[in-house]
Amino acid sequence: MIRHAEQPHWTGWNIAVTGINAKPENPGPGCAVVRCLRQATGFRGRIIGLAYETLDAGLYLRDGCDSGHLLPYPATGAAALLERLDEIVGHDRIDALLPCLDAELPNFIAIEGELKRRGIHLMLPQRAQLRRRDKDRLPALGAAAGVATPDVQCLGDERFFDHCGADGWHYPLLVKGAFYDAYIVHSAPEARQRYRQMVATWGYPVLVQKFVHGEEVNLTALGDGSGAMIGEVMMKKQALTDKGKAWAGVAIDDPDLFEAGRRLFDTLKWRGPLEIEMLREPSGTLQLIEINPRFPAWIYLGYGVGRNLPAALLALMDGARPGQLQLAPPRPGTGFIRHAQETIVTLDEIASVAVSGSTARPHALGSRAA
Amino acid sequence: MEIHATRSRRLKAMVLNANGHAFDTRTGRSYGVNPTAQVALLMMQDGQSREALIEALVGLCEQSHAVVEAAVDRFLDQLASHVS
Repeated sequence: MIRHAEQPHWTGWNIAVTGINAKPENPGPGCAVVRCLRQATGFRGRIIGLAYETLDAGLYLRDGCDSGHLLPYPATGAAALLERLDEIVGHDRIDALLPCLDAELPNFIAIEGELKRRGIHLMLPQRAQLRRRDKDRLPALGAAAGVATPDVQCLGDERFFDHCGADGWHYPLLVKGAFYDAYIVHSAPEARQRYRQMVATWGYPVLVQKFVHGEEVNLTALGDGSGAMIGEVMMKKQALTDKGKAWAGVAIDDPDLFEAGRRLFDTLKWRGPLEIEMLREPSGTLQLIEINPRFPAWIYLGYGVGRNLPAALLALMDGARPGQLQLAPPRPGTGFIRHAQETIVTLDEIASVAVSGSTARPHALGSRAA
Repeated sequence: MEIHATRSRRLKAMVLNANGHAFDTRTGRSYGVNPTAQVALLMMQDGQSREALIEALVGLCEQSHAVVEAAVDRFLDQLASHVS
């Protein structure tokens, strides 16, 4: 491949990463993605953290991002996002952007063409692909891919919970937000309370899903739009936070999970990173419960088993073919334990983000890597 | 035939270390396995029959055939419930 002088190899790119919130019970994937990039062989570019809150920890972690900026909330729309990114790239060049949150993807898809015209590499699904893995459409997707999935429906009226048993929806049930959060409910009053909480927090729609007993197993991998599943990493959760997120997990090598993932990638023709969440019932049947259109927060395990998927994604964006990626064979048994720790932040650092929307540094990590 | 092949594949997915820690690479579950069961598990992964297991363990453990047979069957029941 012939490269122009102004088009360095991806290891020299400036890479922007979102989702750098890091609340211990439910961290965004961004900080883990940044850590993967820091471990990528030969990486000498800069990492730019893009956050939504002044207190998003990824803005201040000294071994993480070289600089950081606040973005407008996804609800403000694609035009506001593009305007803000134009401000940022005016003084902080971005060569590639890795969105790491579900709610922001529609906006990034809407401005993908504009960003590419500005020289920013992205690998995003199409809007229809994104919609197809929405929680309320999982049964249709599962049927198309030949993967079992529990019944789910959108709710617009909490009175559903008073008579749902007669319609075959027996407690316990799962009440879920369209993007985030899920609660197991055991009675109509509890279900109504969670429903109202979900509406207040995330708005409509609220979803109800039949509850499946089983062990949760997850798969993350990359798609290039051809239907291939690239670099899959499989994990079983070993310990959960109150939000049901993994704070300990172990890599596995499950042929059934692999096959379900392969069929879902093939059906979706997915582009970019994806996480598939399944439950293994006591009978051994795998039930698809969720598909997240991004890296999972446990993506650092991929680096731990020799499959640095954020680095592989950037290589794909840079024109590498799947066969050229550095991906080790599966390494089941390698695990992770997540932990929380404090980082010290000065008043000036907080003030800079609060007042200007950007960190005052850049600190010298980019030049250190070089 | 297919059931036998599946069982064999699932047994082979168990990784046993020298301390008796068995890890099922398929499910992510871990088990503690005593020395006698380690021998049995390794023989089963090698495709040995129940009868061969009993014969080998009678000699190894210096126990009566009936005692070993009962112990092997208990172990096989446990395996069937966990490695499924």
